[in-house]
Amino acid sequence: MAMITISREFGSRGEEIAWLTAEKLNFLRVNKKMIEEGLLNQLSQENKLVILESGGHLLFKNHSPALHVRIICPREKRILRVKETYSLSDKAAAALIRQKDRDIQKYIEEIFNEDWSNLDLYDLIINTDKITIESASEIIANSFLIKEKCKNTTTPYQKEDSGTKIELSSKAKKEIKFMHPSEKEFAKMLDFYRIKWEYEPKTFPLGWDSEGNITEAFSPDFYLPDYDLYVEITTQRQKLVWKKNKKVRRLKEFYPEINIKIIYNKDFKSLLRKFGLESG
Amino acid sequence: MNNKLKEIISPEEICSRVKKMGETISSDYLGKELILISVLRGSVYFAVDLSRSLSIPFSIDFISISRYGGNTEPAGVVRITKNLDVNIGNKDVLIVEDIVDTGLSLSYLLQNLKTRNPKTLKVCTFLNVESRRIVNVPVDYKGFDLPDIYVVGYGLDHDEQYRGLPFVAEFVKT
Repeated sequence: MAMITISREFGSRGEEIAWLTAEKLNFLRVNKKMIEEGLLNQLSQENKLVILESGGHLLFKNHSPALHVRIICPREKRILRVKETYSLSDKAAAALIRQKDRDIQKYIEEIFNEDWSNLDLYDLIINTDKITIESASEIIANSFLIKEKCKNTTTPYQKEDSGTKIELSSKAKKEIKFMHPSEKEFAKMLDFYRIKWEYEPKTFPLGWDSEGNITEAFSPDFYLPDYDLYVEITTQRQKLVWKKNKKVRRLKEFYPEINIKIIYNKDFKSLLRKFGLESG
Repeated sequence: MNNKLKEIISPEEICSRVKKMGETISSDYLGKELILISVLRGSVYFAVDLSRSLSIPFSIDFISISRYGGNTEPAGVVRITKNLDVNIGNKDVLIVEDIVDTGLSLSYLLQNLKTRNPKTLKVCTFLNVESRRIVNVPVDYKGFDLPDIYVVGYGLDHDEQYRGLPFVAEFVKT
């Protein structure tokens, strides 16, 4: 599934750029309402998408065919634009920008535990201070096409030399920062039994507010592609477990086709015991 | 060591269940070339009793794979430590396990044996602990379903002890 996600500062004209890009590439425009109605999963199966904001760059963080774009613009310029567009005073425009940016910042932090201003999460950053929306959309569309083309030409190369590729991927795995030692132990166990895994490859939105912003989401710890199975390891205290259980129930409600297995603290202990690794 | 053992499956129950399994397998494999593959070491006791309750011809072989030990070197992966002596190509193969819980080692075994092109490949286990399952593995014949408890006896050990018990017991550390 091909997609471009566009995240923008308020007043940077990111929205116009997003829709213009979608038009150029003949991609489906995904707005907040469609996400709100829970259509994202279904849409992404059948269409090429341009997703505006809503944490798209984080939802599809590890989805390699996606191009993640951030539109920025100096503050003064944004104030000027917002002032004109909404017929506001300088002060009101500045306040509106501050509020809108803070809203996004807050929800990215709450849902994804990420810093919205972290530019490491984007492939392409465009400053619309001196670039028109026409050029910006042209740049994005072409970047996407170039990225697609490069991917296609390098694939057979990698296939030929699969030995190197495996080595690279296992090297990459070592650098994964696990949230909890039990996850690291579990990953080692899977490696031992030669079971392929991915760490937190996908985030499932579970709730949306009236504006279509995601208010609740869930990223299972592991995905085992050969078994099409998500695994969540819950070593938290019992008090917090009900919260996770609720999330898993919602996940099953929204995405009934997803297979997920929860390993509770008790299960994990008996797993360690089975392998003679129990402590104490 | 004051570990407590609590019998949960008696020798009589084991005997009648294994006999029954033998009858089912005998009728399912009638006219086929059955090879029992006992996974060392735990399943030996079960495999011997099961094979004695078969009324059809069969052959038996043994396989052993390394077990996850946690502190294996980073590159440590499961491997076969004792391979089969017979060729299972185009044969009807039945893996005999003492216990299937996470499904991790069995999934490896199934994959490995599949590459040797048996005609059919099925799984028979003495004990099945569904609640501990991580990956889905097919279990075609099972003796007893157990909840998530730690058991010994009838082939299952704790530090190589208790394998020889004629019954299955819950092992309670005190």
